[in-house]
Amino acid sequence: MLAETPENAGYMVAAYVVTPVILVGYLALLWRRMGGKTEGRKDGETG
Amino acid sequence: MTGETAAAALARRGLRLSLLALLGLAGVYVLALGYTPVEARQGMAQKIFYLHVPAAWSALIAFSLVGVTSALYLWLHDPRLDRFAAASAEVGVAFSAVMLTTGPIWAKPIWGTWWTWDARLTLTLFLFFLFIGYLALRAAVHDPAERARFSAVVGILGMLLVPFIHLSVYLFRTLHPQPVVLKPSAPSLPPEMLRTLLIATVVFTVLYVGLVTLRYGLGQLQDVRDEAADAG
Repeated sequence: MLAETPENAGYMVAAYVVTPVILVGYLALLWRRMGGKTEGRKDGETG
Repeated sequence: MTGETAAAALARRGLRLSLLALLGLAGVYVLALGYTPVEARQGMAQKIFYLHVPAAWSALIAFSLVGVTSALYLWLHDPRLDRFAAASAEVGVAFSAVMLTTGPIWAKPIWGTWWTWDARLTLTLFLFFLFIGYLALRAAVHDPAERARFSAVVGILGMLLVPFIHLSVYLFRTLHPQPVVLKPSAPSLPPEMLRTLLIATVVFTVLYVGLVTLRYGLGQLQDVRDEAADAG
């Protein structure tokens, strides 16, 4: 007799949520840094 | 094209590639949830495999390249190599964060525990902290040549851990499963699972390239500005 497939979809959902949170969060951080640097150039910043 | 414009253009290219890769990640979700079969013994939790393994792959590639470019920097003293190493280390830490969160989430329903201090997991956590230290060191040292030299040594030491992490499942008793693809014999996975894993690995690799390009462009932009400030 085959063993019953375990009910553990909640763990999968947690992993599938946390992955884009980390990756998109990091990309957003870089995007913000990019925005800050571009803004600095617009302001005529030299340093 | 000035140095500043070229760096900003590179950063924008990296941003576009990263966004494209994130669209690819959405495709991986569709494939993993709608196309690959549910594993009989592990249930839905096994689908974490399609994120955990590619994240681990990208993190280990990132840290290996930090080591290679750091060694080349100590030899050639080319600041572009140091800039690449810094970018790859930061992106590697982001992928490690994915690996170190999805791993315990997968472990809990399968092993019955979130964490175990076996060789594979402990070495991976140590590698993560080592590269956090690498980034802290870079932030603390202000002289560019000194910063590059000190961090290159730490980057090379970090790279030396990577083969131990890969081989740890053979060298030590561990709960962590052995490789199913990167091993001397043929991959031991059903074709649908293997296909989804390979596509996910390509997507994570493209995301790595995109994020490193973006981070490298931002580093270059900062360097151009610092040089202009020093000259002025």
